Amino acid sequence: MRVGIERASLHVEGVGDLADVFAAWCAGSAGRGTAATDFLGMMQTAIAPCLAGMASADRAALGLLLASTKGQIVEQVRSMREGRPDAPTLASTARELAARCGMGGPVWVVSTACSSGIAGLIDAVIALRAGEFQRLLVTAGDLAESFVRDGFAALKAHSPTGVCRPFDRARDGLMLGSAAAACIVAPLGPASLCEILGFGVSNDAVHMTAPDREGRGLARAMEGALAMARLAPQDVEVVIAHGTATRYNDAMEAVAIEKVFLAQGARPLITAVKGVIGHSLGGSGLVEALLGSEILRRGHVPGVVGLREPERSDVGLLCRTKAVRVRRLMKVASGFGGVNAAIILGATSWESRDD
Amino acid sequence: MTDPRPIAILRAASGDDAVDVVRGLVHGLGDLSRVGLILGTTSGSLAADRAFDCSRVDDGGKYISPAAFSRTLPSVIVAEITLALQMNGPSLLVSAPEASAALAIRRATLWMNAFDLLHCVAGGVEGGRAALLLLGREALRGALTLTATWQAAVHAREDLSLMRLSTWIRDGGDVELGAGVRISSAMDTSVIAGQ
Repeated sequence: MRVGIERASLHVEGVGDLADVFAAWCAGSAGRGTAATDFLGMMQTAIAPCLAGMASADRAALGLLLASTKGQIVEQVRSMREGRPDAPTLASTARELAARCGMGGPVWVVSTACSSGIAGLIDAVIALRAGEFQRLLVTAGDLAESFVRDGFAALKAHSPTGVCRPFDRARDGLMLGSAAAACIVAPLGPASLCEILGFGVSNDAVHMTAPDREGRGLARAMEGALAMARLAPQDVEVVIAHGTATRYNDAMEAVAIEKVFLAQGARPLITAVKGVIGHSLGGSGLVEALLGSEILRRGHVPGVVGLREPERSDVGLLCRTKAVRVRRLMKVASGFGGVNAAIILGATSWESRDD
Repeated sequence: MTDPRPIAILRAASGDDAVDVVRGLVHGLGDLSRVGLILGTTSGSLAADRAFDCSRVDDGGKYISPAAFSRTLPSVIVAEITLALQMNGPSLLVSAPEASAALAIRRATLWMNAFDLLHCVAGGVEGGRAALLLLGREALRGALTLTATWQAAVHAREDLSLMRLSTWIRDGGDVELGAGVRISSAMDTSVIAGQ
């Protein structure tokens, strides 16, 4: 079964919805990473456009897959400090979110740290292809609030300058940002915004918080996605990197891109968006995949916001927005704990026209 | 190409140390790159979250612990197992009210087909307890059946499917785990999973 994304929406705190964020990315507008504390409210804002106009019976049968790392961490901390036994879990959060949205189908959570959004999208496609559902709402998000800010500060991962510069020689750390994304995954049809062509998942198995410096895990996920899609590296025109602007992540990604693409003579455009929206942890993969669907639809590839002097000149890093029609794009993500995920999206209209 | 043979339970184990339980399940499998790991948890990282939050509060937050923060991932148990055993195949952590272990087993049967995995370790991990299965395509210890559709439970904060799975590992027989997953001890290769 060929599977596509039917409806897509975002809510990025301090930036806006899908159109706003894509416009800001194309304009090269650097973000500041905005905090938020209402997880369910943020998620509902992202989900609402996906459900707009849907018959209540269809909504009541719709399943929900939530991808997140910390979910309702603000309420959880409050409950813990007050000694109450009702701290929300990811599972109870997903159930409450579904209830608030009037969705009555199966509910579950995927959590693989910062690769959660892509892993969740992949799990949804697997569910559809296996015949578990005819359509499914996938949503992903995380808050940049004090619990995670304190944690990343303890890891000394924050940018002291507050500017996110992925792949730049002067990059000095990440910028957190609150964001949520939602989409409907369904069999490919006239309403599809893009097609999901292939995907891969791997585990580094090298360190709890640091990536494999040789990029082997991410390379395996990328190669798996290419193999499933039956594509050669040359067939992928754009890669949206995880691009956190931490020293080790970006270096690892460049090595993986070198192995999978450059070594095979392929030179896709490499871009990243966290300089605009910050890092929304478990939400980031889906947020950025849906921005990828906009690249496929609009014929513009935005550059890496914050990039002034690329650390590597051979990788194909894009500094400014480029007008180019793209047929196939890869989105990758890597997370603490070592889970890497890659997904390849294909343009629907251009693909059918050219093939 | 997806292996057409049915997915079955090859081994089952439970215990208080998830790493040791998985070590026993994958013993002798050789190359682990085509072995998946899909775990279900309902409580997630609540205990680790509490520990990290204490380090934020104690002594005015002067000694916030990066090590404690790295354990606040709900998927930390997946990381610990894959690190300890060098499992670099696809891995996933899932959660659902009342049925996380069952959901993990359900996802595992589908991920085995999607990624053409030879084996997958799947089941539930909750606060140190683990009840896990090694799924594969060889001789059966038990058989899995999935119903086409499933409905997650609404309320419980505990993973009832983990308790049911633990009981089945000890006693055998037939059990309905939840999330549309049924396990039978019948040595019947016509009973298949996820096909």
